[in-house]
Amino acid sequence: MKLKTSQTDKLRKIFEAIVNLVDEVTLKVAPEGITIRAMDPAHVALIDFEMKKEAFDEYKVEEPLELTVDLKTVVNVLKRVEQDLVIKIKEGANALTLLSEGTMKKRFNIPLIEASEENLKVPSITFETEAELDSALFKNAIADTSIIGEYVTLKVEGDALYFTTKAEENEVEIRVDKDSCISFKKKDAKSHFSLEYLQDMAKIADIINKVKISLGNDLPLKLDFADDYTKIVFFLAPRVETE
Amino acid sequence: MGVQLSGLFEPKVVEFKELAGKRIAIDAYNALYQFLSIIRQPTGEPLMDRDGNVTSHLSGLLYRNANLLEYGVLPVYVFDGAPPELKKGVVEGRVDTRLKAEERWKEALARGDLEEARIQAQASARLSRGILEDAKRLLGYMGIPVVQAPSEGEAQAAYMAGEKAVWAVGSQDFDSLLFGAPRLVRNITITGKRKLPRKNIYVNIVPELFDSETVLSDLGITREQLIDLSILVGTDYNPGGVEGIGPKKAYKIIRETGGIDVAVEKGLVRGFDYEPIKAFFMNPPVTDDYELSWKAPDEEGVVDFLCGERDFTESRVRKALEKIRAGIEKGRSQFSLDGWL
Repeated sequence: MKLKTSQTDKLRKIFEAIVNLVDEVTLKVAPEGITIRAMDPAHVALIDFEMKKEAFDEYKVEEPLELTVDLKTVVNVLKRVEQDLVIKIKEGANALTLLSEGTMKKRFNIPLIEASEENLKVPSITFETEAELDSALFKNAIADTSIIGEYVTLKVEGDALYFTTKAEENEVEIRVDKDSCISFKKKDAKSHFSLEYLQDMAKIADIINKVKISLGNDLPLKLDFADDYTKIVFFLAPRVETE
Repeated sequence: MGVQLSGLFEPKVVEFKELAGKRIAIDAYNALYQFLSIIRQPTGEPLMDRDGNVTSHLSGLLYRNANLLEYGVLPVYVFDGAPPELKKGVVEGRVDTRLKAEERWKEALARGDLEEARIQAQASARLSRGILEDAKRLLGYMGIPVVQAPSEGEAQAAYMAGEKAVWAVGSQDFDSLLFGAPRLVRNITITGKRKLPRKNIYVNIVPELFDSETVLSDLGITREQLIDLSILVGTDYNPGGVEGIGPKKAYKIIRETGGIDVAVEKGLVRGFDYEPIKAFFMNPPVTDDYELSWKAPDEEGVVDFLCGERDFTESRVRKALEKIRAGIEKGRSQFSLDGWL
């Protein structure tokens, strides 16, 4: 197996978005592309990630592989390498090799670990409320609500999407009108979520510039980030509204 | 007590964080016995207030639940109802064993043999009416739900897990698997460093998960066959089981014959009245009359009871209450995705 990319940043951001969810991650490397599906131990959030082979400068995979690695190690290594990166694994080897070729030639070997076999399912939910918008707006709204609260209410009411939060005397309301959205399928809906998870998910806005938010009443939230060759889907379980 | 099947199943060691957000129905009698036997002074005396009321179990309930809730685990305590007819002999026998242990404990103390005193004291632990009432009262103040089983607590807990009202049963015994629980978690109320009896060795106790489906498919048997196997080994309703048959041999017999009836027919096992026991494990009395809601703790209620009446130190109790409040708030408000998978 040998993969070559000139977009290390992109890979790094994806791993950074899930580093707080799970300790280890299993990369499924197939002839068509790579996929990751992971859920945190408390089963609150799930990520479904796919990067097609076209996203890589070079993609050589003869047979499907499942490579389980320590996520923190991968993130740390990806912070230390240049944009051009080669990922490979020698036949029968027990480590993933990352090669970066700048002025310095860097080589990192990341040991493979045993996978805790688990075939994760993805929630099957039909959403009647969807808003697609510039992902930067989404990240911005999450950052705005995070300054005072730990939780955020996502709501579609009439012709707008709202992010609201309250903590003691503080209140924040962010409104994104239908006209500012790329697409808008309206049916009033409202659910509450933990910002701790959303802050990490919003990091994907740095690498993919559109997000589709799917919402229901006390249903999980679905976030779809996608560009030509990359797809990242998050599911986040709702919170009960207290008070 | 319960059926002795250790060695037959491979546990899966789990970390507490994997249990976060999960509801666990704890066999209350089982947990209280653990607290009463473990939480003792070096002489074997249980913790007591100045009036001589035993408080070991209250200490266990407060601090262990504070730990569980801090990890986001939501406990519910299921108390036994009237013991089934089948168990009468066992219950009487146990009282006898405990009284004898109490005698041996006092003798050992008189000799100055602290090691033996502690072991015998642990075996003498009894659940008096006062102990049970105090336990329920404390759980009520703590905001932790209590369920009253019509018969065996373990059976009720297994039923609730089967109905998905809770994620797993928490007990040291394996009986809940016989009663049909999809999952059993052991050691959640006794984790940490524990000394092995009669040895100067300390072991680190960690939670273990037994997934019924995995356990049964690994053994290649059904739940009914597991019940048959357990009856051969011995259960609470036929202690000792069939003479000369341990877990390994019972497994072999069930695998070869497919069931206790054939084993008896073929003369591998002497005939005995196993049907009522089997029927009880398959269909124990259970109830839908319970409510699971975790409430913010009544902090003054806990402090008045434990510090005012049972001589606990207020600063330690307040600290535990902080964890309980935060844990309940966290656990009851965040859903998991499991309901949509």
